[in-house]
Amino acid sequence: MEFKQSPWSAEQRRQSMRARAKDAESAKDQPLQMYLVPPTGDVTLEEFDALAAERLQVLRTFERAGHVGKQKFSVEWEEFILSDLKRQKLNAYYQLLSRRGDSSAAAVLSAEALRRDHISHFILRLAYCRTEELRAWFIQHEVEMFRLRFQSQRTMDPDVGKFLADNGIHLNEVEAAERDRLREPLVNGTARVTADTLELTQWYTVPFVEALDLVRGRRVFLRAGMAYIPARDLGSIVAAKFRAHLQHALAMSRRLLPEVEEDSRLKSMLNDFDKRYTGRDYSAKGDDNTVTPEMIDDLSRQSFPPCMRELHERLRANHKLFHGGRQQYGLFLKAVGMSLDNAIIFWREEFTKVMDNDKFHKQYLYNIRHNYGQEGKRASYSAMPCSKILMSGSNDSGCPFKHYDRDHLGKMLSAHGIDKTGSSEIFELTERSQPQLACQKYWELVHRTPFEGAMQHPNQYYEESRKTFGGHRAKTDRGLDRSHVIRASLPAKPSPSGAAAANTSATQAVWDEDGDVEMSEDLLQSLEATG
Amino acid sequence: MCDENILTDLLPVYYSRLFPSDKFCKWLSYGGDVPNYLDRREMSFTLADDVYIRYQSFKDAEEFQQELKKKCPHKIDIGAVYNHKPKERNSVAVFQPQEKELVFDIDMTDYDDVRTCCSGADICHKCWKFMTIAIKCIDDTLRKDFGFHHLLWVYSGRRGVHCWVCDAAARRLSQQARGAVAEYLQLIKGGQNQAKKVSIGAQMHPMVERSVKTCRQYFRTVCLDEQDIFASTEQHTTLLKLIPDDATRKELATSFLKLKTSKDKWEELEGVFTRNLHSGKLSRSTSPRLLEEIILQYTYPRLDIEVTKGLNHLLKAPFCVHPKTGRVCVPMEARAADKFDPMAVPTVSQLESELNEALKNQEAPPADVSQPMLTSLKPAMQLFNKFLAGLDRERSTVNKKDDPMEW
Repeated sequence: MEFKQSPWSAEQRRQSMRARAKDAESAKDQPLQMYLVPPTGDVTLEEFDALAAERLQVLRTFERAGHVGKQKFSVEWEEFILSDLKRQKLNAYYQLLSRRGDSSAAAVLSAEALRRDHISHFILRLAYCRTEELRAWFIQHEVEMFRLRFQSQRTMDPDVGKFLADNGIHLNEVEAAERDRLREPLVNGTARVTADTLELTQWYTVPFVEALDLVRGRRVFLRAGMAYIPARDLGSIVAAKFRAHLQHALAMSRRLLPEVEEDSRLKSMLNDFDKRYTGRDYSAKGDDNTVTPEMIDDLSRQSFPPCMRELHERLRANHKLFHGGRQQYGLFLKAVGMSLDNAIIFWREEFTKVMDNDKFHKQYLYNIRHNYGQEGKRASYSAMPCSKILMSGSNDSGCPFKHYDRDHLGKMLSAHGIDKTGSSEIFELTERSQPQLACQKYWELVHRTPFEGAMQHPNQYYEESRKTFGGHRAKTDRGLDRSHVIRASLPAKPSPSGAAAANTSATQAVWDEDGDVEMSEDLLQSLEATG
Repeated sequence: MCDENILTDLLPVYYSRLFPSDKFCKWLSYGGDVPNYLDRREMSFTLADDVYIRYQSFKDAEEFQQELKKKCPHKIDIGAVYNHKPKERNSVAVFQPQEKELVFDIDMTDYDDVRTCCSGADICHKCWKFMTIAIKCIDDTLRKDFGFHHLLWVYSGRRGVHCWVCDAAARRLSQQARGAVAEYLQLIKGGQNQAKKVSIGAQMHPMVERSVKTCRQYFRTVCLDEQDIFASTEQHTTLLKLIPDDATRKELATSFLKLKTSKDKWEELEGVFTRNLHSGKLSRSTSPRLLEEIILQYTYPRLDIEVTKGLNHLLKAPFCVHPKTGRVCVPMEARAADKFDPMAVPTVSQLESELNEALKNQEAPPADVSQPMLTSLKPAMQLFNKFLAGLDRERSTVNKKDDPMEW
């Protein structure tokens, strides 16, 4: 639940409405905008679809950049995205996002590119406002794109103050005298600032609520409610403002959706977009009986991701879990296919080993029923994807590849039968803060076959696992969007040709011009061997 | 220990003569500038037999006190201010929380891993010192870094303290902002699968530096002397697990066996670590701030982030009687945390007899002195009044136009 307040105060809203009347046309001509004003004019249905599809490809590019483990907003990240956009021939966006060193050419950002950007953003709002999962995905990558644009913009437009003021951020410049007085805390309190670089940048103060990302990570010096920001961190401030605005805007779009869907052409097109988003949201209603309590012990060893297997084993050992763990594990089981009745039996069986039935009934039953949409606002909750789990991590919840220290992780891996080589490959990934890739590696070690796609969800882990036990795995294209096929590395088991394990250069799949996966001979051979 | 029957007998008297309903409602009205602010505040009652009723709301102190006398709740919780009266929530289309104080809850049970004198719900003067450390660290940060002024610290009645940040700007913080404040404050991270829970980097953030300074002041007396926290082999093994450098750890594992007191072991650790640090022999993964990190892990406040983040979270009201101890949840002064004695907090039966004693020689209670002032509740009331006066002063100077903190 969230305070449903617009990020704008009443005064700003009034101002913005006046600004709308004045700037409706000029907004879309700005090299960078926060999409405060919707586009006007006509668009054909084909163009509607094409513009939206194009932007979706761009957002997917940002998603991929997150998966290959590049530090966000770093130079390598930026290069990866730009080259990928170029490869996919998404020229309008390549233009919008790249730094233009030459200021004369820079002044002329194609009006066409800006138009596509403006319209497609608003179309995708409609397609992605429907569920929390979709909104979160859309917001994450729109904010990343926005921030990259801001970064690129700034290299040639030093008057960032005007842009910020136009968008409701009022920066106060810090005078040199004050900066010098606060020398030590500024240097110690601000990430990546040293005594030498302190004076090389302009400093600003903003109310701390405008710099929440920096506050959260303690990467900024705070005094009396104000955050001291070096010019370099303005991107974070602006992005936070944009994010808040977008969250509010999507909530508004959600309310307008029924009206929009009255046009059946739009309705079918928007629904289609839902399906194009290949991330499933695993919000099973939980009324099927495929999985019963007796099956869980074996299933957990065979097919549960480590995060869930650990929770299961902890539950069996302690007969209790803290709230975070109950949520994480309970929703996972629901999506796996455990019905409400079976869930009640399952949890009750364990909990009543340490409490009487009465207490279970009073304190825990409600939450179980709530997760299945049988209480309160009757929403059927989706199982938590990796991104959410990675952000938690208190007692009993979280991801072992992020929240366990090396010691505990090593114990877990060896208890699960992973050998020393496999464990060290996993440690390499966890040490580089890539828990999802580490989990993917784990999956591949356990199942001795490559993992298709990118590990984003515990239930995805489970389903892919079940496929290897049950169905027949086709070796070639299964109609998947190929650009999502990312291989972490080869499984440890040697192929008959003996080349697999030793050949590290063969382990990275490479995309060729057409977006097809290009594989070395060795990789191909060993894949065929392990089938 | 207090039992339920005593409560049932004494609460009616407590609510009619001692519980400061008028001041309580004055607090939650925040000057009456915002219409129906008190009215739209959710309260919940826990009655006898664990019956729990939510979405209570009251338009003024009289109505509130009447309900208290009638229902005699064993516990009162305060929730958020909603966009409509909680009592009428079913008659409106959209019912959602709008404002709430920024709150923190520190619980002694979270310190079981660093105290030897008590465990679970028990507390004593020795381990209460951890609360003093917590109050100092948090109060300092909330005031100095975040610029908050109106902090109400309240003893929770048994084993902890609550902090209510009542500034207008604090009440309007979004869930995201509350989470960010909580995470800024949180230095101890990691569940049971993370042995070493504090990681502060070579260059200490000013807030971390300030906290280390505070914690250091108490570490020796509290952890080494009073708790003797490294005395047993098991305990000093736990300490050793926090040292990433193999050589240092091994060296200490041997020398610790020859030492008995925590003080000696700590001094040994300091010596060996500092020596290895200066000779450049430490492994890359060992922070040069390891000593500070260990001190923090043993003394810095343990925060429950969910309590602070949650807009739906209801927190026990000040001046409640704790059902298990009979003690009143009294406001306390952060700056005088050192002198606060949880064992000296008045219980409801004690107050009852004090009141009877005070009134027995009089025809009628003195008109100008409210009855709590005749009892041991007086200091707590004076503190609360001072707090309310502070809120009044802010209101008279605040500019009604858009406040930059409004974001």
